[in-house]
Amino acid sequence: MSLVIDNVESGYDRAPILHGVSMRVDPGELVAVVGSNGAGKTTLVRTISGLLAVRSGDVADDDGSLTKLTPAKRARRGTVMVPEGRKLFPQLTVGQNIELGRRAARGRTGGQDPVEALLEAFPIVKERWGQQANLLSGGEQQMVALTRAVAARPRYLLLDEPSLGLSPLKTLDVFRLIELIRERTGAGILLVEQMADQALAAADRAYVLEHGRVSMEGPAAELRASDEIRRAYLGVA
Amino acid sequence: MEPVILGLVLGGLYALLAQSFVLTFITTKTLNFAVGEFVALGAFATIAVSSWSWLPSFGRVAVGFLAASVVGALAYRFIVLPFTTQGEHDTRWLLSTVALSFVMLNLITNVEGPSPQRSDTARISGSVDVLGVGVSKQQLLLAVLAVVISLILIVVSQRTSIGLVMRAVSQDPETTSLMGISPRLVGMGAYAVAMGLAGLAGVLYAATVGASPVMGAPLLVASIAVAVIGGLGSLWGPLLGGALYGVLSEVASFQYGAIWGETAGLLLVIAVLVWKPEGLLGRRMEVKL
Repeated sequence: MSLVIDNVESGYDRAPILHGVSMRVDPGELVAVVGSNGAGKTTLVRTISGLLAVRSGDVADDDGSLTKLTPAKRARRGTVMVPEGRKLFPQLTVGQNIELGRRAARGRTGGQDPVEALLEAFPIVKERWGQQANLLSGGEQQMVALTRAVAARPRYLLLDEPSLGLSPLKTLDVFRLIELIRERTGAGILLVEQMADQALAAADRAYVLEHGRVSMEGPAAELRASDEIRRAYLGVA
Repeated sequence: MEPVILGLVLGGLYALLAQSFVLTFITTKTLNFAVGEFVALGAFATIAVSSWSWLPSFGRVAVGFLAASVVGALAYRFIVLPFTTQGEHDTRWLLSTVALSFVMLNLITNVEGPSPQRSDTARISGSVDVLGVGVSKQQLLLAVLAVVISLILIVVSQRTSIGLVMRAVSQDPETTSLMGISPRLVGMGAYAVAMGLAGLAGVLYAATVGASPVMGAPLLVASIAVAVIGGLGSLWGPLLGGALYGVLSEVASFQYGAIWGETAGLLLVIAVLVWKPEGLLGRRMEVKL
C-alpha cells in the first residue's frame, strides 16, 4: 500500500530528464524531494501525475499501475497534484476552484469533508470564497490550491514547489498547512522543494535528485545533518 | 427601416452558426471549418426521415440535430484532437478540418447528388409584420432560435456545474485534467453541441432554400465573420456580431447594390480586427510565449 515509482525514465522528445528514478511514498508519510534547478523535480511530479508519459519503468498506486491512465483518471484514483505556480483558474472564484477540486473525488466520498477542517484552521480561504482567484496574493493562492487538492480527497498528494515566490513568512504558513493536510487526510505527500532546509525539517524521509538520478535517500533528519547536503543545498560551508 | 429588420433576421442564422464556432473555440481553441457540411448533413438527415410519418416533425428536426452532433463529436476525437497535440501553437487542426470539409462535401454529393432537394420539415409558411416590415416566419424562427439558444448557453455556462467545467477547460485544460476532468470529453461534448446547432440551422434553412451539399458554404464566411466581430471567446458575441453584420450588409446592399452587401460585412471584420482584435465582446487573451 504505497505510491511506488519504479525505475522511471521520462522527459521530453530530445531531452530525457529522469534516468531510472525509484521512490516510494507510504500513506500518511511526508516525503521530500530536494535538488537544484534542472535536477528533474518538476519532471518527476509531472510524470507521476500523467502530464508527461513514462518512457520506461512504472508508476503505481495501491490499485496497480498508473502509467497507461490519463491525468484525469489518475486524479480520480486519488493521486492528486498541485502544480508549480499554483495554477488556479484565474477567472473563477475561490469557491468555484475548490468545487472543481471535488470533481476528482467522485465516487470516493463519505466520512468527514476534509475541506472543512482546513477552512477552520485557515479561515482566510473562507473569507476569500467569493473572490476571483487572480485577485489573491501569492500566499493566499497557494492556500487555495492546496485546499482544492484536498477537496479531491487525495490518497497521494504531489506538491510542486509550494513555496515558490512566497515570502519566508508565507512559506511558514504553507508548511503548516501541509502538516495539517497530512494529519487530517492521512494522505502520503511527495513534497518537491527548493527550500531544502524547511522541506527536510518537515519531512519524514527524503530523496536528493541530481541530474535526473536519486543521489541520496534516507530519513530527512539524517540528510539534513549530513555535510554533503549542508554544503550543496543549505548554503552552509 | 426595412433593411434593418431584414438584417437583424438574417443575422440570426449567422449567429446560430457563429455560436458553434464560439463553443468549440472556448473549450478547445479550435474551429471546425467543415461546419458548412454539418449544416448540409443536418438538412439531409432530416430529409432522410421525412417519410417516417409516425415521427412528429419535432422528432425529425431532432434527427437532423443528432446526426450532426454525433458526427461532430467523432470529428473532434479523430480529426481535430490528434492534430492539437504539439502544444498551443499546433495549428494542424486547421488543415485537417478543411480536409474534412472536402471529404464530407464529396460524400454528401455522392449520396444525395448535387441538385437541391425540397425539405418540408419544420416549414412555416407566411410572414408576419414586424414594425411595418413583412418578415417570413421561417426566417424569424431562425432569428428567435438563435437568441434563445444563445441565452440558454449563457445560463448553462454561468449557472451550472457543466458550465463551470467548461469555463475551467477554457482557462486551463491541463490543470482541469488534474481535477479528474477529461478535457477530451469536454471537447467532444462541445463539438457535439456545436455541430448539432449547425445541423439544426441546416434543417431550418433547408426549409426555405432546399437542401444541397453546398448549401453551407456561403454561410461559412458570414458566420466566421460574425464570430470574429463579436469575439470568439464570448457567448454573447454571436448575437451582437450577427446583428451588426446582418444590418450592415443588408443596409449596404439596399443602398449601393447587392455586391456591397457582403463586402461591407467583411470590411467591418477588418475594422474590428484592427481596433479590437479579440472581438467586440471578447476577452483579451494573454499568451505567454
